[in-house]
Amino acid sequence: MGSETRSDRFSYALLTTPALLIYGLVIVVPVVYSLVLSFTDWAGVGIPNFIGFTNYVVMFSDPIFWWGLRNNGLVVLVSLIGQIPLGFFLAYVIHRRLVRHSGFFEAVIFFPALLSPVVVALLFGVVFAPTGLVSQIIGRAIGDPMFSLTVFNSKNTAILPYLIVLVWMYTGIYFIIFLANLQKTSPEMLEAAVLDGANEWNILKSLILPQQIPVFLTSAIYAVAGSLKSFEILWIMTNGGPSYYSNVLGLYMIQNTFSFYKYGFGSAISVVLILLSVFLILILSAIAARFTRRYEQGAH
Amino acid sequence: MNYALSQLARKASSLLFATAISLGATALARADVTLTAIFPYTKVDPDYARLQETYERFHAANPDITIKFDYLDHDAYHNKMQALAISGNLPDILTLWPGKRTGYLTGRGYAKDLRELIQRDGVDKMLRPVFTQAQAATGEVYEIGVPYVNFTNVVYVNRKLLDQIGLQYPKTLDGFMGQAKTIRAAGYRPAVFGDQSSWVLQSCLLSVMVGRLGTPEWFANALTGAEGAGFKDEPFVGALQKIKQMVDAGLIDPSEPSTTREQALSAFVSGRSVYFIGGIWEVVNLTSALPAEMKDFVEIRSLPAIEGAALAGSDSSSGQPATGFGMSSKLDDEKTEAAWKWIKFNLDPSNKDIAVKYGLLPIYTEDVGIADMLTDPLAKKSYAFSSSIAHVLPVLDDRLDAEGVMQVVNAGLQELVLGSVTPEDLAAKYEAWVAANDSNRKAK
Repeated sequence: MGSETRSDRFSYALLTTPALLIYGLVIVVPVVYSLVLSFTDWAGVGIPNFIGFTNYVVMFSDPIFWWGLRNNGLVVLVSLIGQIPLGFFLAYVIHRRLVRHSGFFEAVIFFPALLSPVVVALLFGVVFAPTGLVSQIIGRAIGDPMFSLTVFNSKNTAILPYLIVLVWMYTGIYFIIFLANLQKTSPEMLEAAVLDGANEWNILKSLILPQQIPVFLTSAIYAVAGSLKSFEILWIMTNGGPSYYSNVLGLYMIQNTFSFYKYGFGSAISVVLILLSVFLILILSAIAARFTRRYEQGAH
Repeated sequence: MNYALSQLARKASSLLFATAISLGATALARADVTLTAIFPYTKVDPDYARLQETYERFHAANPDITIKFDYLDHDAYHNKMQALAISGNLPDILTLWPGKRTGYLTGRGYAKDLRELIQRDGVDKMLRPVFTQAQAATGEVYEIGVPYVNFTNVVYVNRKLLDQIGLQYPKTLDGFMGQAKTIRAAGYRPAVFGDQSSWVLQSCLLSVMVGRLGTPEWFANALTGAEGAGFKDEPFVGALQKIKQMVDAGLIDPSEPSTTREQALSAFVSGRSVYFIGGIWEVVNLTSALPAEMKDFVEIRSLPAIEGAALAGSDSSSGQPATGFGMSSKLDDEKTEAAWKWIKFNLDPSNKDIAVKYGLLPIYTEDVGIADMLTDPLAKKSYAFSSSIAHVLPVLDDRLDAEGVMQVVNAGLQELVLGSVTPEDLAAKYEAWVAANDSNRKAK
């Protein structure tokens, strides 16, 4: 028994060591390196000086950081309460055959996720430009050829076009994830529920939703991590502007690191992003665990 | 006699042998100076072809100097140069920007100061002062290349539309603003520039206004804070006020901060806008985008005169010398001379045909006959514009630290256009940033 355990342990170690080494080199080392750099004034060249928490103090007193954080919060919110529920709803409708031509809708819903972010950003940059497609349609409708869209002129609304693009582009990803998981639901069970007199709402609430809690959690973790680090579409669409009205932390990090040669400061922003990501994922895990417990208690 | 002759022959052959060895050694010492160089573009870039042609001619004239080239795309170039600088492996020839873009090399002692060589060979005499002006707070000159100025303030005029509306190109800025209502009433956009990337308004409009209102001398003082000068002074505040007036007059539309350069250029090319404000580099885009007949009625002008400005005329534009060549500060004398030969070769008017062939229009203190080589109407107008500019004024983001310009000025200008900051507040905010952070003030 003892020798078997040792053999098992040796096998586990043999199998996991390469993966752990690669993970350590690719993920852990850069994260630790970023953490160390965040306490320096390294400019990309020369020898970094240790400056303690200065980067963090400067960052937390910078209004651009807080505005980026606010916009990141909106992006996370749109992902969590926009993309995921919508993705689930569409998957449910298709899975339950509540509409005809489901194959066509599957393709249409998933198609945006296949496009390059650069293409999407350029496309929507034109659509939402002050003299772009939306402006021209409105201008023609109201008979004013000089009409131009003012959504970017306000601090509160400048991020809106980006949020719309995010919902349009990434809902398809969650749609596919939910569709794949819904297809695991036993048809016999659903048939039995219908025979027992369950209506569509009962099926959704009591059968489908509880089974999808782990999928919701996985999707939410994916959404949070993706939302906090994404910036490329925004960069091309608005360049974070006008002023910093639509900036996000990822862009703030890129600007400071590569445009201003503040590698230490950029590292401090990345550390905050990692901590924020871990914090949100822990909260989501706790919420999901609570839902799962409640469901299991209810089931017994 | 025979003995004497053979002795003479022996002596002569010894002398010849010694001379041959000496010449051979000298030749060996001179031969094959090999320099390394990295350029910030790839092989598909037109600059690559220009460089190859220049090098072929250079190597034919200087067969003892070989340059080994390496090419990297713009951003990759800067990343690699930083890594090479840290590791002590910089190439011998550096491609440098005259301003802050390669400050990580020029500001840290990696690039050689060329002033001694420039004065030794009298290179400064054939060039306009802008090419040999100080590139650091303490006067160093690190790069010099094709004598071409990137003028950042150029007003492209659709004269056909102006004629149609019944207007002339204005003589003064007030006149310029006064045209906005008439142009809008005719159903056209007055002036477009597309400031979504946020540097345009600063580089293509604010810089020339600050330079004219304050003169380059005031700007030099404001940079270092000498004689109490700073960005809360009238020239800077006044320029911001003028921009606000241009917005209020309707000449600048509040949508400009959300408009891309491409969209603005498209509005001009398609005849929806009367004026397009940009840099001289737009000539290349316009040459390919404009229909042939439109090239004749597109004019290239500088900003109309600002009444009451220190430089009251309109013969000034903001600009900076083009990217050029410098050399590593670690080069020995032999390599320094070889690299300097390469730099001078690029400057030499006898090689102007290569520059012109690839769209660069060098300017010297004296006319070297470039206008006669041009056939394209826009190229002719572009060269006439470049030659007519008497005062090349500083570009803010070329001289000041990028962080302050981008985060305070560029972002602040967009807010100014949208009406959420006043000129005075923006100027005060920028002066506070410069005083606390800008390297020009620290180097004082």
